[in-house]
Parts: sequence; C-alpha cells; structure tokens
Amino acid sequence: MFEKQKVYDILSEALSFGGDFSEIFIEYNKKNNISFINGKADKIISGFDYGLGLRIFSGERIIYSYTNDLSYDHLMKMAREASLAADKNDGAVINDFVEKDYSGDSNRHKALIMPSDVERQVIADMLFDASNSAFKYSNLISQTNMGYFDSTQEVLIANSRGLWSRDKRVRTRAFISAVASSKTEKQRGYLGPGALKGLEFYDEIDLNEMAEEAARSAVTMLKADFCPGGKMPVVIDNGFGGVIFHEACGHSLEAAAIAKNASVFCDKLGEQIASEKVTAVDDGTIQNEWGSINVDDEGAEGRKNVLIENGILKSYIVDQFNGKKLNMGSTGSSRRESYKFAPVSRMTNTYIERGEDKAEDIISSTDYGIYAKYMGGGSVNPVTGEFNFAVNEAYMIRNGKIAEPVRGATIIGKGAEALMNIDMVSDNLRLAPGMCGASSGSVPVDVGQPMIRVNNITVGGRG
Amino acid sequence: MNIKEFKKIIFKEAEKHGITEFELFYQMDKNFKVSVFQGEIEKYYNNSSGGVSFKAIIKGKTGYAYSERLDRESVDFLLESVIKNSEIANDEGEYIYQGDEYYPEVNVFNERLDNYDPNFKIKLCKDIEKAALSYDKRIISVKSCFVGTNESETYIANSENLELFQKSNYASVYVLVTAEDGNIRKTGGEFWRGMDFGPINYVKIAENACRKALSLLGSEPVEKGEMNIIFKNEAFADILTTFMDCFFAENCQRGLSLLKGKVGERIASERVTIKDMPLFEGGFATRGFDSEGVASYNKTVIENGKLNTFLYNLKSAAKDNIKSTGNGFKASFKSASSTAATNFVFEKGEISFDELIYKLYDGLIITGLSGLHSGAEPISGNFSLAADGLLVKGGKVLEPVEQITISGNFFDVLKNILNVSDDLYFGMETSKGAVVCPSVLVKNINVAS
Repeated sequence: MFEKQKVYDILSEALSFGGDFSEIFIEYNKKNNISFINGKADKIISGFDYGLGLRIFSGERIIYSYTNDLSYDHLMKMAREASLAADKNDGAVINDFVEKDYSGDSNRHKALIMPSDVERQVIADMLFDASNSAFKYSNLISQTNMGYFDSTQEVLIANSRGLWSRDKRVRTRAFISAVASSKTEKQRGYLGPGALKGLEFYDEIDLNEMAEEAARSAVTMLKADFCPGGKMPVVIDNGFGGVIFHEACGHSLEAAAIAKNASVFCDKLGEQIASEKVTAVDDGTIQNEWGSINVDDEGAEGRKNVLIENGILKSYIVDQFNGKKLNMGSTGSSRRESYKFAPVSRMTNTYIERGEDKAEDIISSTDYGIYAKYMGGGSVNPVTGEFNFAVNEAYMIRNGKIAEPVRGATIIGKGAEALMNIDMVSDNLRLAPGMCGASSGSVPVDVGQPMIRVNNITVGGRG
Repeated sequence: MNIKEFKKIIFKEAEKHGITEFELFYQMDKNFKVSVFQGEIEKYYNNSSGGVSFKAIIKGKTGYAYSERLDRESVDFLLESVIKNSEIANDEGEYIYQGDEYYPEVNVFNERLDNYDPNFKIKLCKDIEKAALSYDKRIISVKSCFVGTNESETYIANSENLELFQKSNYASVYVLVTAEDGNIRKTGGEFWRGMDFGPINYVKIAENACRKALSLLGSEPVEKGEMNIIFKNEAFADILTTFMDCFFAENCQRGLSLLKGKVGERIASERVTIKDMPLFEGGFATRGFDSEGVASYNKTVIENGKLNTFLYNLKSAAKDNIKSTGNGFKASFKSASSTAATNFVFEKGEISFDELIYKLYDGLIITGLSGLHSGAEPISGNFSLAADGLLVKGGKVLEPVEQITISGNFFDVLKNILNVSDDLYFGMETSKGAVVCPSVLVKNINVAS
C-alpha cells in the first residue's frame, strides 16, 4: 500500500515541532449500494473512498488532518502544518515498524465470497424476490423498500511507536422494509441483517422470510391503537432490544465521556450500578459478527471486555488517548467511520449476558405493562444519562398475557435508574446489527440481550 | 490531477465507450476546526477532501459511481461501474439538463474569511469557554466548545455543454455546557454560523448556552394528558426538518406523502406560510443552482394554510409534466440526486415570544426534543418524543419539567397552530435543507411523564 520509508518520513515530519505520538490511517474502501422501491431498481451507486488521516498527540491535545491527495509532497506539507499545532517538543522518536497483517490468513473474520465476484443481477434478483414476498403477505402492503450494501475496506495503520498493521474488512448488510397502508395511516416494518463477511451471508439467511416478517409487523401495527402513556413495567424482547443497554449505559461508559467527567458513571468502578441480574459484555472478537473487528482503528486487537458483572461496574470502554488520561489500558475498541475521523472509544458487539429467568415466566408474572417486541433506534445524552428510544412493535401485557398490539410507544429514562430497575433477565440471548453514530462517525455495532423486564419506566404514548 | 484535466479525460473516454449522455459532479471541501477544554486546545483539525461522481444514461438507464481519487485509474473505475450499474437500473425518464438562460448571483463567499489565522480562532474559542464558565457557578463544565471555518467548491459539467461553478464558505461556533444543581444535571448548547467573524458576539453565544442549561434545572411534576404547548423555535425547527419529506414531489409519486393530491387545499392553519428560499440573503442553504444544474428561485410552499406546490427535481418534475423547482440536491457528491429544500422559511408572526407565552396562559413550552430519528414516523406524521420543557401557569413561566414525552401528529400540528411569534431561528443546515422558523403555539398535544 505504502512504502515504509515514506511513512517514516511523514510520521517524523508530524513530530518536527513537538508532540509525543504520530499516526497515519490509510483507507481504500470500495462500496456498493443498491436500493429497490416496489421491486424496481431505484438507486445503484458504486464508490471508492480513498484517503489518509494523520493524528498527533501533544499532551492533552489531539491534532488531526485528513486528505485524499496522497502524494508524498502534499502529505509532508500537511504533516508539517499539523505539527505546528503541537505545544511543546517532547523529543519523541520513531520506533522501528513491527509488521502485522490481518488482511490475509490471520484474518479472524474471513470473507468467502468477495462482493466484487458477484454479478449485480444476482443481487437485483434477490431484492426483487424479497419485495414480492412482502407484497404477497398482505394486500395492505402498499410499498416495499429493499436495500443492499457492501464495503471492502483495506486499511494501513502505522504509528511512531512502531505499529504497522494492515487489515481488510468486508461487510455486507440488507435493508428490508414494508409499509402497510390504510386510508389515513401508514406503518412500516423493518429488518436490517448484516455481517462482517462476504456474500456467503445471503446463503445463510432468508431475505424472503425477513420480508414477510417486516410485512407482518407493518400490518400488525396498522391495526394497533395508540399506546397508553405513564410509568409501568416494560418487557423488552431479545436481539435489537439490547439497544436499551447501548443507549442507557454503553455510551456513558466510553472513556471520552469518563475522562471529561461528563458521565454519570465516573468514579464508579467496583460499585454497583445495575441490578444484580445484569452482566454486560462488549466483545469485538465474535467471528464474522457485524460489530466485530480484527484490530480497532488505532491498531489494538479486538477483545472481550466484561463491563458489568452481576451489577458491579468492572470496566470502561477505553481508547489510547483517553486511557492515558485515566491511567487505563486500551480495551481494543477505538473506532472511526473512515479516515475522516479521529478514532475514539466506541462499542463493538455489546450485550447483556444470559440470565436464569424464562421468557414465559417474565410475561406471566407481569400484571400490566408493555411488551416491546421490536425496538427502533434511540439516543442518549451521556452527561445527564437521559435516553429515549422508540418501540416499533409493541403489545399490552394484561394479567400475565400478551394482549392487543399498540403503536407509537417511546421509552424514556435515565441510564443509572433503568439499570437498577431491570428485575428479570431470561436465557434467550440474541444479537442484532445496527449503526451507531457519535463523534468518530457512524460505525457498525451489534446490540443484544435476552428478554428482560424493566419494572418501572416512563412510556410515552397517546392512548 | 486537477478537475479540469480529469473532466477532459473522462469525457473523452466516455465517448470512446459510445456513451453520449453523462454528467460529472465535483465537490471539494476544506475545513478547519479547533476545540478547547479547560483553557487548553483539545482538538485541532485541518482537512481537505472531495471527489467526483459520474452519472451516465446508457440505453435509457442511469448508472452512478463516485471516487475520492482523481487519477486515470478512477476514470476506468467510474466508467466500468456506471456501465454495470446501468444494466440493472430501471428506465425512469432521467435526463441530462441543458441549463437555464439566467443564473442568479448569490453572495455565499467571503474572501476575508481566509484572513483569520488559527491563533485568532484559538483565542476566540478560549474566550467563549471562559465566558461560559464564569456566567454562573452552577455551570460546572463546558462539554464542547469549537470554532471552525468551512470552504466548499462545486463544479458541474455535462454532455449538454453545461458548466457551472460555485464557491462558498462560512464560519461557525458551537458551545455545549453542563449545569448542575443538587442531583440534577442538564446541558445547553448554542450554535452560531456566519460569513465573517467580524460581527460575532461571543459573550452572548456563551450566555445563551448557559441560560438554556440553567433554565432546565428543576423538576416540576406535570399532569399527563392533552394540553396546549409552545414549540420554542429551536424545537419547532427540529419538527419541521424531521417531517419535511412530505413536501417533496418524489415522495408523493411513491405514495410516501399523505399530502399527495392536496395542492390547492387547506392543509394547515391560516397562520402558516412556508417558503423555500434559495436566494435568501444570509441563509445557510443559499445557492444559485441545484445539484442538477437548475437555476434557483424562491417559491411559496404553503400560503396562509393552503398547499401551493411540492418541491421538484428533474425526474419528479418530468413525471408531473412541469418544470423542476430547482430542488434536486445531493447530500454529497457520493449520492445520487434526490430532493431537498434550501432555506425552508416559516414566516414569522407579529407578536413577541413573551406575548406568545401569555396567549398560551396555561401549558408547556417545549424547548428541546430528542429521539427524532427514531420516535418520529416521517410518513404517517406520528411522533412520540422525549422533551425538555418549562411549565407555564397564568401566563408566567414556572419551573422546568423533567422526563416527559410529547406525542401527536405533524399534520395535526400544522392545522392546530393557534399563533406564531416573531423570534426567527436559523436551524442548522442538514441534507434536507436549512429550516428558518419562529416559535409556535399549538393546541392539543399529548404529554406523558
């Protein structure tokens, strides 16, 4: 990808006026995006992302520059200009590079069928069929949106401490959505399967079944009444339901927030922050999982980190820069969307571990509340811990039984309180892919959990 | 390779492949940003990046591709990709635009902005942080504080010999503070954008952020149920941005807008007039032409409650047999054109914000909303959102409320607007456009806590 001598020159030029660490991140990323509306091709875009991000640490300072002019002269000029922003000369030296290559045989997350080896017509047929499956499910289905995405990202990360790591990340994802309509209402059902692997993924999943499921969800919600508002128990199903942990807790454990004293979980290591039923993990090593990594975007290998064990806070999610401030080591999950972002501590595959309760007991022991089958997205303010998220498919629970569907439910709360209020955790753990947006861009992550119950939380609704 | 050379080569190569209808779109952005934490530089960013996209219509079908690399290899990649992509595309009546006779001049580039060196911006950033921290002892930290400049170049060239170029720049400032009282913590942010640092009042920017955070400290209980509320301009801008898609013709044509077929009908209270104004002086989305090369002009979308027009790009206009309204925009050079507003201006009313509060008399002022990407359904208009707000009783602002949600329907909100104040707010530019709006008084919104 790049000659070592040139990289050496750029890394040392970047430290010419000060700074204690310099790093480059070079990215070649070929992407394909295909979307279908009502079974007809809508947008088909192929792209090539290409550029270099240069990062310098100087004391408490991060200096970052990126460009897609990768000529040697331009990069040397950019490095020199960036270096001028350093505040003191720490006499940093460049160590000899130790080569690591995760792009070939030592790739834990191999792609068997490369996106470039598959004819576009094959993908088009797949999306066309999925659209048909959704329409066939019910004549209430008025529209389908089917999407396909792949990216083949090759990176080189090299730094002044001698890191020289290459990695190749092949990801693919499908977007399955069906809209059900009545005269006055439209409701959407949605599924978005994805993996860190090649197009063999589509031999393992059935998009037609998923399209039917999206259609079923849309039709169910079309007939639903508005959800009642107020405080009540909420049972959240497995899989994407894990977004509650992601928002309510995960973001507030990221070192960037901790180092700035901008999180409700500062200084809480070793303390109980969640109910004893809760053990939570961030694991970047799960083979071929959507949120997994070989190495993070500053070259540290992915790891399995226990964040909370039986309610006790065990670890934050730590990147190199904030780790230094906190006197903690990297947890191997510093990530960035592309060369245009300085990496920072982020989640990979984050989930609540299996508990000992049974899903059926959770429902049968709830007199009155909400059963959230499919969650939508959410967000959190890490400073206050206030989070919110939408429920895409919800039902009332009455007398220990799942009753009528309700729509328009939103769940809000404060992370610290919600975690303590998890009173049941079942054993049917499942993960689900999503995109997570924060200061270093949008990165692929998994959320996950078994079915859980939060015994008292605010539900927003109109009923 | 510079863009002119690149254009020459790809046009020649396209013709060699027998392609006759095509368009090249180029974008180059430079941005500088410095952020400060506790009096020290925290982040210092200086970037430049851009790229090209190429669109070709082959046998009536359109293929797209983009590249961030301007070299010979990319020419081959782009051509190979557009050919392959066009093969599975759909014949949707796309065409390459011949151009307009007249393009309006817009004032979107300030040469003097380059004269502010990094040290000026660093000092400004430190001053803002200091002003925020000294405003009130309950302001415990400044979570984020940055000063930046952006410069952007756009160039369009196509097989109809159209060639357009535009350069724009702006300066921006953002500060986000944390206020704490007892065990309640709240944040408040203020964003400023302008074409020059000259008129900036940095103390006021810092104070506004602090006031917003401080005003939320407290937790008055609120009774749940239906009530009248004021959407403060900032919160209302979020609502308008979220539901703007229903005004785009392409969504009507796809059955994704409940406003389909309602041109000429009353869809909102007579207090509602909304204009799309690409020629609005000082607007954040002011431009002389859209991403498809169509000349910009101002148009009224809703006039005193009556729907006047949808917003069109070339493709959706051709479908309805009318001329494009110049709203064919790309989120970036990487995406194909779809529809977006420019400056989406909700006309202000005649009374002040204080008078609006008196008109409300009893109810809530919603100052901020979160979860718009998940708790709002752009098609049906339904929303259920976490909100920050202030309780109003007897025309007076009382304590802030905590942990509430509001729910309703956007199309009902448009109809239920009882009054509008004169406090225009300039919302941030998004890929859908930049909303400019005042605060509005709306009846019958559901509140839960």
